[in-house]
Amino acid sequence: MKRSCTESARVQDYLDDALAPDEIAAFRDHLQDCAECAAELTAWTRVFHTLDATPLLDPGPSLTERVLAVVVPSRIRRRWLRTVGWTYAGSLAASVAAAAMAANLPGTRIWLDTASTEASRHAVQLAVFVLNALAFATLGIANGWGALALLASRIAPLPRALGSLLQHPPVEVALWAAAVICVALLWWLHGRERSGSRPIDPLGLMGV
Amino acid sequence: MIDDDAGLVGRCLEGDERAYRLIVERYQARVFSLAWRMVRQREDAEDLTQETFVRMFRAAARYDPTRPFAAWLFTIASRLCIDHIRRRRLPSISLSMSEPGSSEERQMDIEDPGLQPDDVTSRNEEERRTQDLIDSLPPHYRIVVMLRHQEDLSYDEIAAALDMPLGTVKARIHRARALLRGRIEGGTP
Repeated sequence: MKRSCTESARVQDYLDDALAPDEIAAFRDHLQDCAECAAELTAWTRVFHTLDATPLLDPGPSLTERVLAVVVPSRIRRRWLRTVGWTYAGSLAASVAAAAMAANLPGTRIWLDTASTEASRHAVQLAVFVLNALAFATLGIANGWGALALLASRIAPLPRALGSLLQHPPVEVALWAAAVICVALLWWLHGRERSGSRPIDPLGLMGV
Repeated sequence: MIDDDAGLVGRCLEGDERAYRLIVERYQARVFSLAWRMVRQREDAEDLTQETFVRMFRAAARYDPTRPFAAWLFTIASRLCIDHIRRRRLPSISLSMSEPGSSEERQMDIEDPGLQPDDVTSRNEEERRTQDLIDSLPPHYRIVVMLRHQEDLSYDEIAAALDMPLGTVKARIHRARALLRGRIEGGTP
């Protein structure tokens, strides 16, 4: 339909609230006088009402649960753990079944017997070695402490004996006198050696 | 308890399972409706709805609370629908910047034949008629009309969601309404 009024192009903007307040007022005034624009407004209002009445489609609660299952972190963790658990259980069951089946084969049984014998021998050897090592270490430690104790017990009487000897006055006087005499003798020897010293003949010392 | 959209997103980031449920229950029908009207297969629409929420929650830490949540969510949903249509070679949807009325636009006004939804039950005649009218639009018109009238997004929000110039969005919405008016009135636009 050919429209003569250029303002009719603004009807959609008017219904869309896309006009400025002064433009709205001006367009309302125009509608009072323009039958064509008023008719356009009626027609477009019907279209807008139809579009606004578009019904929402409800997908139902099953979609809610489906979405929550993949977005809620705790549910994702639970699902992941469940998956890992089932995978582990399945793998374990399959492994046990495979092992049981293989163990029933004649060749496998012989191999298992040989392998278990070897493994037992190695285990015993290892256990003996470990026990030996432990026993040696224990004895070594005990022996070390015992030697120290023996040495202490042997040395202990000597200081005791010296102490008891020093408690007698004659012995004490004699020891003091000996000490004084020793010091005097050393002092006298030191003086004589210094006054009568001469260069040492290295050749004579070498005994050539 | 904060039940506004931004508050719910914040609670989701803290791991509040109830907040997740509230957001999904609040928006799933709207997202599903958009998806269903775009792809017209229940299974695909459910997959798209699920993927929309997955991507939204994955990006929740980057959500700007000053921006309307619905606009953000429907940006994700719209782009997923468009990608889906392109991948499945459903009736083509153009996000090109062609001017309305150009040969490309006229070419896409052709109604595609597979418009009968396969999962619509017990609606009254008026609803069915409205839905059929919406479904009769080509996808590139349908999505802008849905975002404008069902989701009540502004032209600017639709332009941002579809990454299109504002003028193109406005032109497509006007053109889509003109198509519908022609069909409502039983003539051609």
